[in-house]
Order: sequence, then C-alpha cells, then structure tokens
Amino acid sequence: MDMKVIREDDDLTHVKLSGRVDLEGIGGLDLEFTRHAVTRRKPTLVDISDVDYIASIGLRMLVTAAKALNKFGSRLVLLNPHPDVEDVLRTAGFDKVMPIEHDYERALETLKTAA
Amino acid sequence: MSSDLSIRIKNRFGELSHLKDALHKYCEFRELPSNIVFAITLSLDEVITNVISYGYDDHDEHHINVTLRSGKGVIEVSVEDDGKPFNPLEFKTPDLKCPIDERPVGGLGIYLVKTYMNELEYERVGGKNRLTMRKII
Repeated sequence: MDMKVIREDDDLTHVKLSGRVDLEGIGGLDLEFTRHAVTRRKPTLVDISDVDYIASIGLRMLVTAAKALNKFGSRLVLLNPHPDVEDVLRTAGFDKVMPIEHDYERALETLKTAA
Repeated sequence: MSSDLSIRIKNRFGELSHLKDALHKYCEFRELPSNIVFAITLSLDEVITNVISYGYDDHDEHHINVTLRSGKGVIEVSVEDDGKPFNPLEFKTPDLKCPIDERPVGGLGIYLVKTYMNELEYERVGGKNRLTMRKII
C-alpha cells in the first residue's frame, strides 16, 4: 500500500491510498494514515480508486479512523472504490458508517454534512 | 475431485505472499474469473491470518497445509493447522448495523469468509483444525 497526501488545510484532509490494503501491504503505514486522517480531526476524504484489494485488517484501519473522526464531529468519506473493493466494504456494512462516493464534488458535499 | 495444489507454509505472516503467488498462478492456469480469484484470495488471507494471529500459545514454528482441488463447477480449498481448536462456523456474526460509535473494529474476517465462500465445513481431526471451503464457479 502507498499513501499520498493530496490536500491538508483547515477544511479538509485528502489522502490517496493505492495498492493492496492487506497485512503485508499496510506494513507500518496504518500509523501514517492515522497521523494524517485522525490527528488533524478534519473531514477526511480517502481516495481508494487505486486500491485493488482490501482484507479485514484494512477495514479495521478505516473503521478505526472513522470512529475517531466521528468523536470530533468529522466524517470520513471513501472515494471511487474498485468494484471488488466496494463489494467488500458494503458486505462489511461500511457504507452505513462511512459514505462511499464516486464523484469528487459530491464527496466534498457529503463531507460537509454533520457526522 | 483431484488434488491440484498443495502448499505447506510456516505460521509466519511473511509466508502469505508465497501462498498468494502460488494461488494466483493456480487460478491463472485454471482461467478462473477475477471475482472467484478475489473471493478465494480474501478467504484464504483471512483464515491464515487468523490461524497465525490467534491459533498458537507458543512462538514455535508450526506448519499450515493448504490444498486446492477443482471439480465440476466448484473449487475446494482446505486449510489444516495444529493450532488451538477453532470452529469458525460457531463464530458470531458481528452487528453490522450498529451506529459508528458502537461499531466493533474487528471480527470481520470470518464474516467475510462466510459471505464470500458458498460452503464451509469444519472438523477437528487428530489434534488439527481442518476447514474446507467451497466456491461455486
């Protein structure tokens, strides 16, 4: 897994994950992800369009961040998942706790609504 | 049903990549559709991660045997380990509808396996767990 920070300002944290979000893929990057996504306490957009595989350890990383952000009144929104990855997210009921969007502008709108 | 692929791995996370490489070569050879490959990869990933994470009280080296067999319209995947008895079929499904605050962060792996595979069978044989998963293709 790779992580790229796209934008960090007063309104938003926007990061892009790519590759395999499984045990080997994550390595120590979950701490890096948490540092950017959670520590800033801002609405967080996670672009996962280049994630081709996700296992439960990746789901754990995402739900941990979403829960922490929720405590600060911020949302975590997932952007553009690959169909196989989206199927895992929906199977795990993640669409109920973190919105999944396929359009950047719409994702930004969703992030503005209260957690 | 013929035994097509048999792999023995150690109870170390670094072994997962060897297993997935072998699995993908097998799936490629069999020309399996990508959604089937995804389901089998995910299920094996979750089961093996579980065995390595929670199956042993010691730090000794153990072996986990993985076998793939193909039959008419079905792929059968067996995982055999000498860890503590664990029957995933008795594992309670996590509450997936609860609010985010109450949402558990773990417990999803076995649920995914049960969802992505069509049939699961568990036996404890000769001090070993044997989980057989079947996927209709």
